[in-house]
Parts: sequence; structure tokens; C-alpha cells
Amino acid sequence: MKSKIFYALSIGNLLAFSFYLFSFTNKTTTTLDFQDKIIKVRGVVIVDSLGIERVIMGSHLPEPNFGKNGYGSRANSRGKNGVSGVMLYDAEGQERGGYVTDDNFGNAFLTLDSKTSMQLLLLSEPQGAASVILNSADRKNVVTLSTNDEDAGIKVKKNDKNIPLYENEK
Amino acid sequence: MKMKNNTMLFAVLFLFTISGKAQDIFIPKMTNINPVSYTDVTYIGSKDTVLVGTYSGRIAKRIKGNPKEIPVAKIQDEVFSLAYHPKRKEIAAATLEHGILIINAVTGKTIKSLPLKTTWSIAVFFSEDCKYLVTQDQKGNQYIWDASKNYQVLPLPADFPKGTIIAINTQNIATVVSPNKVTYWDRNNNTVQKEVTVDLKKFADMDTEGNFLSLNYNECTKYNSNSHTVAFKVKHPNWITHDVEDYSKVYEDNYSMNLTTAKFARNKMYTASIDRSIRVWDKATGELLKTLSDHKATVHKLRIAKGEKQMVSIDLKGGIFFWDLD
Repeated sequence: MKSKIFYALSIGNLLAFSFYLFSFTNKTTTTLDFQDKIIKVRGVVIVDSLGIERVIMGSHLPEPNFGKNGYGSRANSRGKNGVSGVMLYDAEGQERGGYVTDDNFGNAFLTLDSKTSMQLLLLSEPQGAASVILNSADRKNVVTLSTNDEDAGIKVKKNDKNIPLYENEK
Repeated sequence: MKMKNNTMLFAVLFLFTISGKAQDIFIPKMTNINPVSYTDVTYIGSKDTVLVGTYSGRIAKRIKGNPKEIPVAKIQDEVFSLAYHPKRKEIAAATLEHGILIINAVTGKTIKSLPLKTTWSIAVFFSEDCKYLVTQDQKGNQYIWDASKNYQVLPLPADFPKGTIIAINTQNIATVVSPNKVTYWDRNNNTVQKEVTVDLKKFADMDTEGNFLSLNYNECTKYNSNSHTVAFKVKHPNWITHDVEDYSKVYEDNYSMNLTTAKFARNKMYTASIDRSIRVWDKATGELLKTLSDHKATVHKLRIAKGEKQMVSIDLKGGIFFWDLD
């Protein structure tokens, strides 16, 4: 009987000591070697020293946390048109650009955003058209380069007035 | 036999340790959350003490002079807006996925969840007498709950004006703002008490004299609804930055950046911007009186304390400042 109690106490002691040791384990001390492994995941999130998410590689990417109503909300801008790829966020956590494809039209995008709007868009459409669009914040000054099988064009909007260039060139 | 049992036990514990560490790196979903950013701030006293909320679901108390947060509640959702009921000591928190949560400010426990028809709310507030809780969702559905009747939802009449309810005063008059009209709706007899034509791009604030502040990108307009005239427009004239190595060195660039909010208080008006500054303007003339450049990130909310003796400002990196108003 005594030996059974002793054994039970030993086990209990061992468990308690193991949990005690476990509490000291430091996540950073473990080095995982994945050099010859292939990782298959839905997303990877890179955070900075404050825990602010700075890069997300994923499918699908989350909605921006800045909308027409300002900071402190979700934009709901992509709606059901989910996008997947890589998104960059600034030191305040605001979406500032991405390299993505969308599920609906099948476009591929590369975008660079200011803190108020999208300033640069590189777009490749699935049927073989492409565009480069440069915007000012108020969209009154815009440069558009576009190509497709029927046409190629350069358009400039300056002070909110369209100034077509090289149209109808033979 | 004993040796074998011990070995097995060690093996189980080892696997438990490894699996625990491996699980630690996974998160339930991608959110692009900035956990340090304050999303809203609201006074819980006449001055010096406020509640702040975060995208990561943290609700905390901040007291002037105390650099640390005092935790109040932690919810598994994003918090966009806060309101405080001083008599019931309850917090109303507008969240992404759970509508409006009513939280006991003393225990931090969620008492009740008030569902929204669609989407979420980014602004929730109590009426002037704290009898009603008011909000609207992102699709424009308006909600009024009776706080004294366990937050019973109060149906709104079909002809209730469209727009954003921004206040309900002690006479039970609701102020509803839309870009071209401000309606004062008498909730006692469900009639329009007064309608005022306005021209507001994005409503920011109103005072008791019929003046409105409206934001349009980097421009703040003071609009007088009595005379239907624009009194003046102001812009932050520059972008002030500090040297990375030597913070006392200040640079000024001639950029006028996007404004995030604006408020009236006494004889002044205050504008905040992504340029990390707050500018103080003379309410009568629009003259720039002062630049407050203590924030180190986008200043996105300003709140004026009751009595207009103090203002609190928050930024997207968890910065908070209390400003005593002259």
C-alpha cells in the first residue's frame, strides 16, 4: 500500500515538475529547421516589434481596416470579390499596396496606396489586356497607359480635364 | 515495469510540450489588425479619465498622468466605438461581428449583445440623458435601444429621416444628419420639428449656434446653417516631422494632408490629421492659433469632455494626450 502511495506521489511530483519546467520554456529558444520542408498553409502574417501586421501572404486576404468612414472600421471594399496574394501594411497597420489576383474577374493587380487612396495600379486582365494607372489623391490628375488586341493608348487627365494623346495614330 | 511506465510518461510529456509549442504559432484567421492602435475614446468622468478600445478587443481605462493602461475587458472581436453609461456603469462597445456589446465596466463581463441587421457600427452613443443607446450600421439601418428597459429595441416610424443620428437631447429631439439636410425629429410625437438645409461633404461636428464642421479630404469647412453660408475653410498648412536622430529638430514640408476629424469647443475649433498633428483655430475667424505635434502617428479621434474643459486625442499607435482647454 505504502509503495502504491509512494508511486502515486512520485508520478504526481514528476507531473508537477514537468509542468514547472514547461512554464520556463522560451518560444525563441527552439530553432526549427525547415530547410528541406515545403510549407502548405492558407496564410503567413509578418508582424513588427509592436505586433502590428506588416505583410500578409494569404488566401483570401482580409478587408482593409480603413474605409470611406475613416479609421477605426472595416472598409468592406472587396465585398464578395476576394483577393489572394501579398499585401503590405504601414507602421500604423494601414493597407498600402499589394500584389494579388481576384476570384471574380481573374485579374492580376499590383497596387501602391497612399494613406488616402490607391495611387498606382498595374493591372493585367485575363483576356490579354493590361493597364498602368497613376492617380493623384483627388483623382483630378490621372495618367493611364493601356493595351489590348484592338488598341493601345495613353491618356492624361490634368486638372480634371481629359487630354487624349496619340489617339487615332496610324 | 516501473521504468517502462516512467519512460512512457516522459514521452507523453515531451510530446505534449512539443505539440503545445507548435500550436502556438497558429492564428484562427487573417485580420490585418494593428493591436496597439486605439479605435475610439470616450470620457467616463468629467475629465482626466477615459475608456479606449482597440482592434484586438481590448477595452482599457486611461488616466491623465498615468502612462499605463488599466485593463477593463477583453473581448474576442474588434472594437470600433465605445460609449459609457455613468449611472449603470456600463460600456456599449460597437464590434465587427457581435453587434453592440453591453459590458459591465466594473467586472468587464459582457452582459448583453445587441444584434444589428447587417454589417457593423462604427459609432455608438448614449442620448444626453443616457436613457437611449443609439447607433447605425454600415448599410444605414438606424437603431435606438431603451437602456432603462434592458436595452429593448425601439421601433422607428417609417418616415423617420434617413441619415446619421448624431444626438438625442433631454427633450427627446433626435438630430439626424445627411449630406444636404439636418433634421430635428421630435420623438415625443414623431414629427419633424425643424429641417435645415446644409452642404456637408463629411459631417464632423456641430455646435449649439447652428455651425457645422464638414471634412473634404484635407479641407475643413465651417458652415453656418442659419445663414446657409460657408464661414471659412481651413487646411493644415504644412507637415511637421521630427528628425529621427534628434527629436528636437523639426522639419516643415508644404504638404496639406488628409484630415481625420474636427471638433468645436468653446471659441475654438480643432482639426486632426494623418500628418500626426492637431491644429487649433479661432472659431470666429478661422485663424490658426496653435499646432499640437506631440502625437507620433495619425491622430484619428478627438473627444471633448462635458463642460468643454478638456479634450482627449488618440492615434493609430496607441498614443493618447489630454489637452486642457483654455
